[in-house]
Amino acid sequence: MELLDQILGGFATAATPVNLMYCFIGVVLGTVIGLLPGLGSATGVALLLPLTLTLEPVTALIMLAGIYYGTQYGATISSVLIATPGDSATVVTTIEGYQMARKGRAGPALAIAAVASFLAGTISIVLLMTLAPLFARFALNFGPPETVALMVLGFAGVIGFSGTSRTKGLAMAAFGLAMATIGLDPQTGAPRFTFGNVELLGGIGFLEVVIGLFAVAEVMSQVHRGASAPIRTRFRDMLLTREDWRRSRMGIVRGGFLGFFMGVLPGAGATLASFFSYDVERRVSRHRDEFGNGAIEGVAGPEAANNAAVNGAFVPTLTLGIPGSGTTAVLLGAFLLFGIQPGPLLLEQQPDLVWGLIASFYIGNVILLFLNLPLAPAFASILRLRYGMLYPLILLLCFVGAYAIENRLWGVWLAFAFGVIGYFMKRYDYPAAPVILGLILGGLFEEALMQTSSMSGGDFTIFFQRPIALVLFVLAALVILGPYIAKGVSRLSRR
Amino acid sequence: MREKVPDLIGAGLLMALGVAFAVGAALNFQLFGEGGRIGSGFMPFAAGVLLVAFGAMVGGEALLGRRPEDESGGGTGEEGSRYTVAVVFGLTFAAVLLIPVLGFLVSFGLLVFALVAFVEEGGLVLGAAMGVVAALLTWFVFVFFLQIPLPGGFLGVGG
Repeated sequence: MELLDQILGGFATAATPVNLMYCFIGVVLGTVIGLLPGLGSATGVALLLPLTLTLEPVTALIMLAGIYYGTQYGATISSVLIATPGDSATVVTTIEGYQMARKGRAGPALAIAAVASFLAGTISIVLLMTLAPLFARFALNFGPPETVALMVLGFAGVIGFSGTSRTKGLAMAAFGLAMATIGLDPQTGAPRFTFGNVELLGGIGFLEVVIGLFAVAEVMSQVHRGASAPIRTRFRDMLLTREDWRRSRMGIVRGGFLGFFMGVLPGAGATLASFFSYDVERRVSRHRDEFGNGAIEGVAGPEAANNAAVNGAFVPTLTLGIPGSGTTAVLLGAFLLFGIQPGPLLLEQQPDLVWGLIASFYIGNVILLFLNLPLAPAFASILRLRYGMLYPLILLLCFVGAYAIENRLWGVWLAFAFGVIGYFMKRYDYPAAPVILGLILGGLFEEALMQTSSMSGGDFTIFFQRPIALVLFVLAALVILGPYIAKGVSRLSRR
Repeated sequence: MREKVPDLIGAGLLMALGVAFAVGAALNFQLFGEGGRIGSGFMPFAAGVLLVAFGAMVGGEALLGRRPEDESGGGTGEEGSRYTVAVVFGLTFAAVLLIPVLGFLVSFGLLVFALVAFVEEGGLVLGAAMGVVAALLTWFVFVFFLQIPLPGGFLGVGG
């Protein structure tokens, strides 16, 4: 009963005219950003975060979350119509979605993607509402050693699934941790690595780094991109047949559940969920031979999975303070920027904010469904614009945003410097998400480690005496070392 | 061997940064304080050691040839695009340098103009129109709507 009251309270918070308006703005902007190839959800949130700085925290977070799941819808449109995913989570949609579009079925592909995303969103929001309080209650037992272990698991998760090289992911997390130590020492207040520069006393701002590493670097690596010629579709083509629906419905349910639980795992996220879902659908489908040639269930399942994973990723972010993906790492930074510390106590201390935010996911999904079904063809026309006309404006938005964070030119320089670093990182396959995670969690990690060392008198074997911490460390080790071990075992067995 | 150079340079940079953090922390701050508590230098020292270790692993992987095939440059490899990227970075750098002199809106309006008109060869009229519209929109959203004053420079525009 208490849960129901909280949910209703959440809907009351999310449904105020101001919050509804910003949710709408968020999902529309998210859809547009998602459409633009290369600019994924993390970039979108980073790019538009400065616009929310003057808003109430709950309104700002509702808008940012809207941008997050709006990008998933937008990214589907470019995947289906130009075979270029707007976000890594929709890569797999390209396989069947583009084939459907080539056969004149772009409309049904976009329609099933929108419907699947909406239905999976509904399933996953119910799961989120049910599981988030359970997670939070369990996490209330956590002391500093468990918090340290949990953060290590969070790092391991994001690194484990980042790009092609785990080693580079690990190095980037260490880079983020090192950056986090610049500024005033949290224990003594003494400056660390500031070299007499007053601007560095406050540390390296995460938002400027995010704008540089994600947005500026992304724009720079796409400057050579020309205009696209999307396959045309019309509103009247977007109606689903009974057969389409019959083939897709179970895939949507499977994708919804699979996506949610994959989203909950730190680092697994929407991309992996969509690939798993595609694989499952290919195995269970009665039309296996159509896969690769435009099978509608190959769009429905993965689209359901990636949308559900977005909601799933909020479970560890809100209740443990550990992001479930690169984008939730950026959102975690946004929480901290607004003075809100996600974690087990958040549900107790700020129920209006948490439940309002969760309720807004549902409202946002409804808006997206009604927006995307009739307007997908109109949104698709954005793809005809030459990227050369768009990126100067995106760059302007990046730097004005970097300035607006603290009204200082230093932010612009930081964003520029990290833009250059990020461009080379992207070029040579160094993932950016672990840097952000290290930068955001670095301070909290140091604090938890300091408390742990105080508790134990400097004896770090305390981690082995605490069962939860030990289990979390073992899981982290498995996530990082598992693939290396598996590779070694398969090499040995080949011999 | 040539394709391994970027990773070897990356590994070298990571290790150098790691050494700087570890040595800087060890020399300037306490690693451990009273009662076994970690000191101010512990985290930067640990992060530095990790950077050195992982940097060495990145270098080792490059030398042993374990670099995946598709890592050769993130899909942005053409010479022409590299040149364009360098020009865009250079122009952006100039625009940031000019902010204290010309103000934010004028500097970045000029940047948009230069990028559209010259880099993208969109023509002077389109470039000028986009530069002016971009500056006006930025003023409207940030200065007028969000009440965030932007540096006006000597011209005092947008402050």
